[in-house]
Amino acid sequence: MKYIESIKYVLILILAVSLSTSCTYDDVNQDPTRPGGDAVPLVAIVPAMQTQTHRNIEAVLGRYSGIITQQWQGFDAQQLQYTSYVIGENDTDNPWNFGLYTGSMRDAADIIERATNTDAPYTRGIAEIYMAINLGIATNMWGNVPYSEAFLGEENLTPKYDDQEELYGVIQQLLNMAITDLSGEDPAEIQGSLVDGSPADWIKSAHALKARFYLQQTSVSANAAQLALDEIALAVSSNIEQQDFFFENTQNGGHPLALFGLQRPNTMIIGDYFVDIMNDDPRKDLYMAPIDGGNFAYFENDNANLFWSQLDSPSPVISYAEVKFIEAEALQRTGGNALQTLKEAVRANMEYLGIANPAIEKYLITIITANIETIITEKYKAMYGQSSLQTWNDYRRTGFPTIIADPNGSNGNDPSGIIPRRLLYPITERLSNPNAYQNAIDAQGGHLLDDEIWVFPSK
Amino acid sequence: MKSNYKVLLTLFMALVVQLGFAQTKTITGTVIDDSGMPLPGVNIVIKGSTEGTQTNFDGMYSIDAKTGGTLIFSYIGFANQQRAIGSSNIVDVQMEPGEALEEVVITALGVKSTPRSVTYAVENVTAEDIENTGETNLVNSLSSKSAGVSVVSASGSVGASSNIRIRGNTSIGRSNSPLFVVDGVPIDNSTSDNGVGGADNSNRAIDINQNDIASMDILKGTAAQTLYGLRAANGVILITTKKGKAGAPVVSVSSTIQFSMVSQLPDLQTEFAQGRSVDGVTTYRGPETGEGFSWGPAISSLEYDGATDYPYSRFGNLVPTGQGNGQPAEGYDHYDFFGTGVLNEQNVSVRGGSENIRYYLSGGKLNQTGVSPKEEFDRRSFRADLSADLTDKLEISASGTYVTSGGRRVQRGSNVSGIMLGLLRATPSFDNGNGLNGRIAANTPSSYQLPDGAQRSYRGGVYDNPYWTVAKNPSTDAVKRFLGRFSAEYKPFDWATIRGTLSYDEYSDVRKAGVDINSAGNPQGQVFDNSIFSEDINSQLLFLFDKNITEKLTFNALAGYDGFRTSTLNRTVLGNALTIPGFFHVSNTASQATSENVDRKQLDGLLSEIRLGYNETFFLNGAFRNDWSSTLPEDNNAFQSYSVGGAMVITEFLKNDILNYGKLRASYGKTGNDAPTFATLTYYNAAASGGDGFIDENQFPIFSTVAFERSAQLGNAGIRPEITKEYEFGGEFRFFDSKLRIDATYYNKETTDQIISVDQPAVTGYTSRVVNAGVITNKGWEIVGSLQPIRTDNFSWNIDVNWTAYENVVEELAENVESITLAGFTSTSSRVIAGQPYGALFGSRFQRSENGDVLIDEDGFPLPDPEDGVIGNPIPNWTMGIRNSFSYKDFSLSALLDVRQGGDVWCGTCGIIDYFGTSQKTADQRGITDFVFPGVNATTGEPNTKQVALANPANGINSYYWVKDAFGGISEDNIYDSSWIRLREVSLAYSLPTKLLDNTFLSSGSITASARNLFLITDYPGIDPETNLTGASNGVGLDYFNQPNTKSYALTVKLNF
Repeated sequence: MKYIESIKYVLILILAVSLSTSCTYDDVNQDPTRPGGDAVPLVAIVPAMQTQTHRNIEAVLGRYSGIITQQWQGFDAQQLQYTSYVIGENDTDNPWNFGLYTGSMRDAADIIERATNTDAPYTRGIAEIYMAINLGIATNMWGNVPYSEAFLGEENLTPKYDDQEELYGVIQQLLNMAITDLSGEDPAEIQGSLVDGSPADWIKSAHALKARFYLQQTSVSANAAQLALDEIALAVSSNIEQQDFFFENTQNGGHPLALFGLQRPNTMIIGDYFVDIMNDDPRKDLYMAPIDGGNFAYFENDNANLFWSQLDSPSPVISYAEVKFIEAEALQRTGGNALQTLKEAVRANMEYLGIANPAIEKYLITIITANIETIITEKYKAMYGQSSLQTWNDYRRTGFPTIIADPNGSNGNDPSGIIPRRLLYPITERLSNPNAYQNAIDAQGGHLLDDEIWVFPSK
Repeated sequence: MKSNYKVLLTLFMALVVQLGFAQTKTITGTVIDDSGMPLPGVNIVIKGSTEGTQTNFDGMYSIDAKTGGTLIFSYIGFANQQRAIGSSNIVDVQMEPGEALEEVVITALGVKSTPRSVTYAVENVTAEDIENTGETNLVNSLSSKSAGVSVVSASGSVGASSNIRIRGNTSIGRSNSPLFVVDGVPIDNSTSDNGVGGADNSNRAIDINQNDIASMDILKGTAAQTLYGLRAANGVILITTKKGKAGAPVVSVSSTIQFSMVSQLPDLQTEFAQGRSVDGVTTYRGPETGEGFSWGPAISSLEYDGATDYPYSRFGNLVPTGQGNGQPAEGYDHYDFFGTGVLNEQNVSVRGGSENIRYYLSGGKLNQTGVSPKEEFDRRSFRADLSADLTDKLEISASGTYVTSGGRRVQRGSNVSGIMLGLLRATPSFDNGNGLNGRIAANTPSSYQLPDGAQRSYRGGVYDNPYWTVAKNPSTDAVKRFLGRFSAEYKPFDWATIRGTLSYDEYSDVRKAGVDINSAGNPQGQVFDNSIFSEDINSQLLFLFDKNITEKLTFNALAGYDGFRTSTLNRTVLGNALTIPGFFHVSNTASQATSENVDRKQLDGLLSEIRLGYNETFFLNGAFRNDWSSTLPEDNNAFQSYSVGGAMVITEFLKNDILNYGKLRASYGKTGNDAPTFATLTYYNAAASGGDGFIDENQFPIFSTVAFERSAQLGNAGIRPEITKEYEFGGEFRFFDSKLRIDATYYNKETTDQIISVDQPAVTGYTSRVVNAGVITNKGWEIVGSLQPIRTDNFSWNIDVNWTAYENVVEELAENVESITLAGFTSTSSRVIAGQPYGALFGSRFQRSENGDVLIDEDGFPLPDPEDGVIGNPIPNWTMGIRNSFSYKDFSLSALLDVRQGGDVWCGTCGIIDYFGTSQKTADQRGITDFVFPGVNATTGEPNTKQVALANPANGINSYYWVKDAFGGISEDNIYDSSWIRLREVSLAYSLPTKLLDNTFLSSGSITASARNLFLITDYPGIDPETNLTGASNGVGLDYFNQPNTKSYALTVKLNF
């Protein structure tokens, strides 16, 4: 029986060793292909934040905005469905998750924290500007959105949605902090920015953005126009001062509109309404090209004329033309004469696009009044390609241009079939942050496409 | 031929055979069994040599041997007999039943046990069961062969992966595929890159040459797998390969030729032309418009105009009848794209050995073309298995397998270059092949290319013409794999064995996917290079003890160490924008994005087991294993697996005439799954700007700039292993002298502490985090039965049945986590959702009243729900395999029927072809103007009575029922029950009669005709519902332009020398 005894001891030994020790594997479980957070410098995060932000402006949210405002229309597949307002909770997941909150806004929050720890105020200022731009996009699209409790990782897994009115305050505050940060000294200079510009240039862009966000509140704040005018005085004052982000002439680094044209060919074309109002406009050939069947393409693989759909097309932080349109509208709203400013706005846009002066002059003669309708309709033409988001904002705020809702637009996401007033919150929020999501919907009286957000009431 | 054979034989003989020369004479004789019947196939070897022979069908043999030598007679189930060679030239032998009368069961770590002592379910699949399947992929060969084992192949593409599950799914985040163990050594059966688009890639078990397999044993339950610890949380498939055995060399040659064709395909219409409603009027809109719909006028109302400058058709434009040249328009059948695939397989093996050295050598070559033009898969394998008894107590053995596999894959799924996507969306008024079809069209550029180099397709290159994609978008892979094993077994005492094994499984998989200029997916062209290098090293040291304590009390024990190291390197280069058409090299691309990923882990295990038996009646066993895994947090990386089991042979005290054998068994076990690699930390990734599902990310480095951003996944330093606990009860009963056998098992397992990458709100700055949470249960019945209704000398009939039913439910998930997506699209996906079956289908649906009636809007159409929900259960109610085998003299016939009851599949394809108006359904129903949707009015709650036109041109295309709600419709509309009955395999084999072979060099031979999927009966409207878009992934039940399955016919010839 001795062998039984010895086996018993072997087994007991195994059990004892098993329960009492843990093995050491050194760095086997550390991914050699990815750095940890400590190794990553600011200079490596700023480009990610900027690229994602300009993508947010030009990619899927931009396309929704442009389709809703009929600058584009669907020609096939999902884009056709979006044209008749079938834009549901699934269609907003990607931009919310990976475009904004775990995209550019995460990067901006990360940079702000790191720049604070390493005392890099200029770079923090840039991140504050970008955070403001992105938070602006988020609240323009969805009304109440999380911010005050966001970006805390495990510390807060169910961030609440802040009221939109508060968020407009937060945006102004972020831009004020940016201006303060960029006004001081920073021996490290601006780190990693892909957009050219001195701190002074960024300060001008920040003021321009402040003007944009003030003007967005014309329906809910009596002094919005005046506040915007005050900022205009300090803002970008020429096309030269305009700060542009440039995508590059590769598919990997290409502009989202060109990528969409290349990778989803013939699924989205120029909207009929937009084709009609661009007749006799010198910008028409820079925006669209005729195709078989009487329609116009916004993209063609080898058409270098189409200004906004080249792989290396720019994306402005905020354009000088937009600043002038803001000024024109603010002037008009505060009782001033806006006609000259409106013409300057149109000229700024045309010059930026490279239209020759005689054609500009010829066009400007046709602009004879500067009321809200003419200002916004001209702005609608000028903002094409650079930011359809602002076009949709303007439409919701002013009701211009006078587009007509799609006749088949009534569906579960848009029961009344009107031109959408907002986007639905994404499905991942419903499934992973359900209470905060429900509270936000309750607070706003719904989140379907025909429910209004606070800042853009229809009346 | 004969002389060739002799050369070959001489060569082998020279290698391994020692020949004796002195005083040789010819011995003949007859071998009979204990009942006096002649015993064919008995091995006869001259002791101390490799020379040997076998008895023929009449039990007779003849061998040349020297006087004074000894003949050894061996046959499975009988004790070896030895006879000295004296003066007589005739040696007759009667074999006596030996110890191994009962078949042997292989259990964990290759331990051999008697079936009566096993306390859990183990099922054996023999070489015969898999030899006539006609499947290239070993996993597919297991289909319907065993209770509790489910196999779903991704598609009918050659080399496509297959999804295998034993007792359902247990884990959300980890692979649920069982561990494949070949001769005691686990091998890699991973797959990569089977997403919703791209090509069907293989699972690596496809590298196994089925001709090398002697048998497979399937360990299903936790208790059976305990000794494999963390690595075997999903069952184990033990493969035993063919080995050399003492005796004269036996050379086996087999050759198979198989022809495959597509099986089921969705019905397409050929009645209505391309077009749509324009200003309220149904209008033809040709390829030049770039439009996709087939909601145009009747093809019979159109004719050609004979224009010679029209690039899309050699007959000119389509115009209304009367305006052209009188040549009527045609409705084309696009399915003439598919042809006959041919499989050609040759195998040669030689086995034999002396008493001390045994060898098995084999070589196999397989070439398979698919039903789609240009599709091809190749496999070549070479295997050597040697063992030697160095002393009475020490045996060493080694084996090496070298395999090359790979081929040219075709594009499928959600992919504008996908074959089925381009084929099924194509309008019937357009001729994809431009007058040609099948392989000829694919080899003729004018069928898919316009003179200016642009693509000739029904909508001007928005989707690839199927002929274009097979010709211009090649996707190739080339795997080179080496599997090596070295073992030593030392028996210091007859009751103790020490066994050490070291093994190596290494492969490289070099893939290249080209997209030519003017392709739909990337008009500028693209090259994607992907190189995968994988290395697994296993080491094992075992101490085995086997000694009876008393006469009646048997004792077995085992203790040892098991180590595992794995690492994978995956490098990719994506190059965009080609300059030279068709030259798929990165140097020909304008910009590049690269990536490099590493995956690696180590596992160390100490293991032990004790088995006790009393009087061959009562059995008890217990096993314990401790694992240390590198993927777990360093301070807490140990994990214990254990099991206990008991069995009782009731017929030892309840013996009667009806029940000749009965056994009850029960076991309980706990095992687990470790964490995914690198999940304990939060990393930074090379930045990629995304957030748009329609276009590629902007992947850094770009702009000549480096950028990193924090990973969207939050690491968890407190992660613990998953735990699976399972109990099972079973019974095995044999009636009427074992003519009827029934084996039934009930199991119930629960997996807790699931390691899940849960969605967390993106607003936290992360979209997911790895947590321990969630409970999945899995319970089911497995019944295996066999019946031998007739057995005579010349004729026998066997029926084997296996039946499986299980419930696989996600009981709970993490807090605030309602669902996790396993695979699919934003619109329709396979998910885990608390309270729902594993893999539940989730997607868009209609609004319903409290009674479950669909709500109908004022216009008379069903109202889509703005919130998605659960729309289907992909798990079948039960599955059954029934095999009938008949043998009459030299003929044997076997048919395997496969029945599946229930299990939903989402036919995404159906929704899209309805949307485009190419389905037969839309041809049949587009004219209906008085349709009343079942349901209740959304406002009044009254039953709906409103009549609607399903496709009224006056309201525009966006008002059509199949177009209005979404691209591809509402997911719920496209969920179908996939129940089927299919004749999975049928084969007729003829063994060459001995008389015919007597005067030849052949010792045996057979000719087999077989067929696969000869018929399929199902209500599923798409392709064969045995399909899965994402291959071997955890997500199931998705069909979105999957490649169709095939049926095939084969002829196999096998000869043994």
